[in-house]
Amino acid sequence: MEPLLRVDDIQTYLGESHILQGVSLEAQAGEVVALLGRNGAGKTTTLRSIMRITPPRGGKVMFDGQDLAGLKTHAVARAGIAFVQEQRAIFPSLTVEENLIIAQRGEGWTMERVFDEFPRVAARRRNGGAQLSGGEQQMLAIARALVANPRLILLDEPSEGLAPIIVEQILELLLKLKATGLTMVLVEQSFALAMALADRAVVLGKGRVRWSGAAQELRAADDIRHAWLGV
Amino acid sequence: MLSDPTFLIEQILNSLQFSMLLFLLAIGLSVVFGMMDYLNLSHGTIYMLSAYLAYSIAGISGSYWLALLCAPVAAALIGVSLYYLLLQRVTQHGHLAQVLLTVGVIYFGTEMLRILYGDLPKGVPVPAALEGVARVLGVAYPKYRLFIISVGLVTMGVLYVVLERTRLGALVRAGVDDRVTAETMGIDIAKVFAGVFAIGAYLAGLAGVIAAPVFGVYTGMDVSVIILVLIVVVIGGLGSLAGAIVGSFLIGFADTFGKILLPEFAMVMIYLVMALALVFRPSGLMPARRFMAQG
Repeated sequence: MEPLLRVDDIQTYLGESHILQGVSLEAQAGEVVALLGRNGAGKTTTLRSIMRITPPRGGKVMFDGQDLAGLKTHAVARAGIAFVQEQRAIFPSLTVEENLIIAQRGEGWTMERVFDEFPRVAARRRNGGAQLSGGEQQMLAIARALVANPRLILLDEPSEGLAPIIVEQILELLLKLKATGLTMVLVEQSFALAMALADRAVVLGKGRVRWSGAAQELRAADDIRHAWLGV
Repeated sequence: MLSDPTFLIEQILNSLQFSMLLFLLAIGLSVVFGMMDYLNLSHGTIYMLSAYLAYSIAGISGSYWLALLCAPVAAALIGVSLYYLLLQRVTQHGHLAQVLLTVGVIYFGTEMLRILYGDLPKGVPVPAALEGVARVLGVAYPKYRLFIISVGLVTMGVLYVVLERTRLGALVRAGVDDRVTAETMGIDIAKVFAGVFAIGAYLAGLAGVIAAPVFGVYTGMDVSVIILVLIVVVIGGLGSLAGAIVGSFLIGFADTFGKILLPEFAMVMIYLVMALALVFRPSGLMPARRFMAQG
């Protein structure tokens, strides 16, 4: 079956630095794929390459049978990909509600449904984006991705900088979303969180794919984990 | 001098009137800079061009009101064409390239208007309906100048509602906060920016028309005002409506009262206000980005 997302041998440069030196990965519809690796391995750059914030100079990204080459970032988003960035990127000058209103598109996840699922976000709907705690920002960032009704969500380090109890809530939420059949590509430093969510894993090191396979096999692959993840 | 209440009220009204002109120019410059990081010094050229257009339209048709209706629209169209045909070529090349190019546009605009209209300053007569004076707190004050103040206040109100209370305004604020993140949410920031640029140029054009009967129409009117407008933007903070309003009032009052209190050092007052503001609030008094959340 043709995967929903197919990243094929992409080459991405930041300035003159050759950051991604041929990264490939696939996500079938309904699947959660974890993208793992140390700091600087190229995980965030891979997500930013898919969104064409840093467009790859070589290789190919296919989404739902469509070649994303030549699209602007907003067009990639409209094709059905949402991006939850590292550190959330909530607009500080907008209220919580406005953060959602400007992202709202399509049918399924409406504002009302999001507020039902995220009571903590709902309680803050009239607050400014700058007034939220880290956990609330993360919830809002995920809610904001959902109201765009994407077919694929790219999540960059959803647990970063959050207290363990909040991380648990986020994990619960993401498991719920997974159960609805939403496809996700997850970049995560927390190995435990990644393993709890992912069906498959891709290990990056120095801009290349070092390993890929079923998430459960990665638990057993001690040498790969030691060499490229340090866990 | 200032103990004379009549004089004081007059000067306050003069300050308000000048603040409104600064505001109409500052808001476009500020949001364009805040959103696209583009320093468009030729913003003042649009102001000047619109004043000349108003002179021509009012001269030919005999109607100030027709000039008020048409000149800002024409100015906006010219401003947008200028941006897409020329200015945007250096968007990615940093402020220095932007300054060089837009200063070039200032010279070009000045020379073109000089060739077309000659060196002598032109006047635009005050419309009949706004001739004479009205009483404000017992002080006689020209009706036309009160009209300028009203236009400024109405514009502030409309912009406040649009920017702070509508989805469109939220899109603009999102673009100023973090353009890339807005793009990742499916918002075509280039399109939003085109609208913002057009409105900014329209308001600069509006300022040109309403300033013409009071300050006259002459080549160089753009440069003298754009420096003050830059100071307004710097003091107020980039990309924010509240910042543009506060900055305009500070400079409008500092300029007017500086000329009265320290006639020989009028500019000193303005730079003093700027220096003080920057010492205590380096990113401006009310910048749009209250903190940066992106990684």
